[in-house]
Amino acid sequence: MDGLIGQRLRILLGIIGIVAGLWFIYAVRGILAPFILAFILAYVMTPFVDRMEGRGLRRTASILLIFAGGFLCITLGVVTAGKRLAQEMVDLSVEFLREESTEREFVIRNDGTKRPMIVELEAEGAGLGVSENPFVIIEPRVDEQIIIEPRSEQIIRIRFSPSQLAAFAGNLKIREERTGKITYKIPLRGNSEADDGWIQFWRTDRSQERAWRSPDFWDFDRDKEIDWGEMGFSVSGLDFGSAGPNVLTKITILAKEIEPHVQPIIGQDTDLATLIQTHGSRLINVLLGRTTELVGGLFSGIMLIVIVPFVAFFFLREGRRITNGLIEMVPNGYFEMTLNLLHSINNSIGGYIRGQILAVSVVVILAGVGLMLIGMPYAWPIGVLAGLSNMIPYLGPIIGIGAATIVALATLGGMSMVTKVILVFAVIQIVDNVLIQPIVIAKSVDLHPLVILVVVMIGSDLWGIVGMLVAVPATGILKVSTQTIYNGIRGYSVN
Amino acid sequence: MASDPFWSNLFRRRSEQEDELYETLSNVPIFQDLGRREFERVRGILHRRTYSEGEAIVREGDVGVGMYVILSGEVSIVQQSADDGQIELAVFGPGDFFGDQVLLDESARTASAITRSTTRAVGFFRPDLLELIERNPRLGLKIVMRLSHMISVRLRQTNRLLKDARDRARRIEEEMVAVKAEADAAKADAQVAALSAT
Repeated sequence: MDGLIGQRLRILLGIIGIVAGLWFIYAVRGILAPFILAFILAYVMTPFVDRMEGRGLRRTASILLIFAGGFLCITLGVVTAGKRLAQEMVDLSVEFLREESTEREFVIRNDGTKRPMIVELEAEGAGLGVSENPFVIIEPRVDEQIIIEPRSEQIIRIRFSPSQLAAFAGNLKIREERTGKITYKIPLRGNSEADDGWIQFWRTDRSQERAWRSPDFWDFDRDKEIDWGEMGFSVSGLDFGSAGPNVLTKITILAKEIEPHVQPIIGQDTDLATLIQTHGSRLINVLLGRTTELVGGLFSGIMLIVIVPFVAFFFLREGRRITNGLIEMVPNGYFEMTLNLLHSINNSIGGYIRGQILAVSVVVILAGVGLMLIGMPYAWPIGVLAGLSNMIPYLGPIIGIGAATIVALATLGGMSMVTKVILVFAVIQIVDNVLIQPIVIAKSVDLHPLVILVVVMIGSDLWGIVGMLVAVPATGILKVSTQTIYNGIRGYSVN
Repeated sequence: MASDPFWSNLFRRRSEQEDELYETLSNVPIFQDLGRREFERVRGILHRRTYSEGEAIVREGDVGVGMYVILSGEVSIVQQSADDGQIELAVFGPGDFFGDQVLLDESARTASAITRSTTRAVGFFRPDLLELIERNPRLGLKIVMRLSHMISVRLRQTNRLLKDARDRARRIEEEMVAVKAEADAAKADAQVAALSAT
């Protein structure tokens, strides 16, 4: 009887302990991310460390050697391909996130006492053979003539919205109302990367017309308000920065073109262009929001870079002792079952993670090389995206092919590239499904395709993309655990 | 720090424990070939367990995962008999081990091990052995060689016992035949005698 009470007390204490532990983990969940990442890193690296240790190296030395090798590889990668890859990624994101138009504002003051002046806009030397005027005065109102009376000032707001990403230049002319003579020109420019001392502040009412090209001629800078002669300007020249149509606009234009052809199929009242415009801009807003979050998380990012390898080092060094310590706490009756459980989970998940690393690498290389061969721009960023998204069953390949198609449409605008892209991805999918997936899923987690489909849907419903990524391995763990526990209990019930 | 009694005690106790483990395990056949350094590697995959009196370390019929070496205490090995009683096959003490056969094949335990006093034991398990073989084949091979050696010795013993038993059976059979023949002869003699009497 005493033993029975003792046992019950122990079970109760055990349950309280587990609940308290879970509550604690929940309470500190905010700082768990680096530890989880470190755990995954250590978990992936354990087999390599074990092998090196087996060859006679000390464990600490093996870990440090692998860490050093890893850092060397990353550094080499960054130095050789990384810079290019990063640049392409930045360029690609700019294609999506580019401002459609930019605006600048400045003040013109008429310091004279007699002459009213007229402000006019003139596009000059439109870039790359494009005859359009991307500059518009939006304040004061467009349709009125802007006259600045003596002893008064005017705020001028100009918008730059080009129809393509090309360099443009223009002038804001200031004319005397009475004589019609142009006395000043304020240069405007957009999408111009070159810093060529472009400021040309013309004053034309002198005896000789003359352009001062170099800013140091006057020794002024753009922020300084200058007061010269009768007119005062808050700027000496306006640089509108980079603006142009982004991918979304290009696709919307494309959709407008094909709308008449597809409307008989999808229904007359479907406004494809508007649909794309609204949903697309929502998507881009989400992306933009995420980017700001990422930048905001830069500090925690640096923390991660420092903490994760540090913690992973100790997990790798002490991992066996930690698990052995945990196993030691399991009551004798469940000890062998727990041991079996841990080993089967380890086998199944270890195989899955190693398989996924293999699969991602193969798909990245295949997609990158394939897209490069067909002459696709941004081949490697798309390859990396396709490889990573390939970890999501069923949906992953669609993400990859979708991204590639959008980029093909947006950058080259032709359907021939889309066909080639689809061909490349079809080949990749065949290789993936015939050679890689059987190793990754069948040999490690062994789940029925239908089960995979269902759990991926459940995962996406619960936690979005993260849910889809963890759905398959989590189900694998659940399956193996259930099997092991069932076998264990059935074994005990024989007696 | 070395003069601090707490720390020195902690370290001394630990190393004494390690020495005890090494002393005991180096006498277990499958760990015999291991040097101190190799033993240190194996130590990482061993599991220490403590059992109170009357507790089952393994149960007959369960799927076994590995072997146990007794460090201290006493364990009786019992088997269920046909009439639902229990037969005690042996009593094991410190340095003895059992369950080594399931290291090679995952099979049901053929007997239960019940502690007779508080017992400390060290477990060595099949999944850990498989991992060790993969990780450090040379070390794993040493252990597996010892294990198969042990089992082959046991097989030879079993064979010899079997042969002895067979020989004895044959001898008994022969004796029985002889006895029967004698009895038959006696019977025949008796019959002859009876016939001649009548």
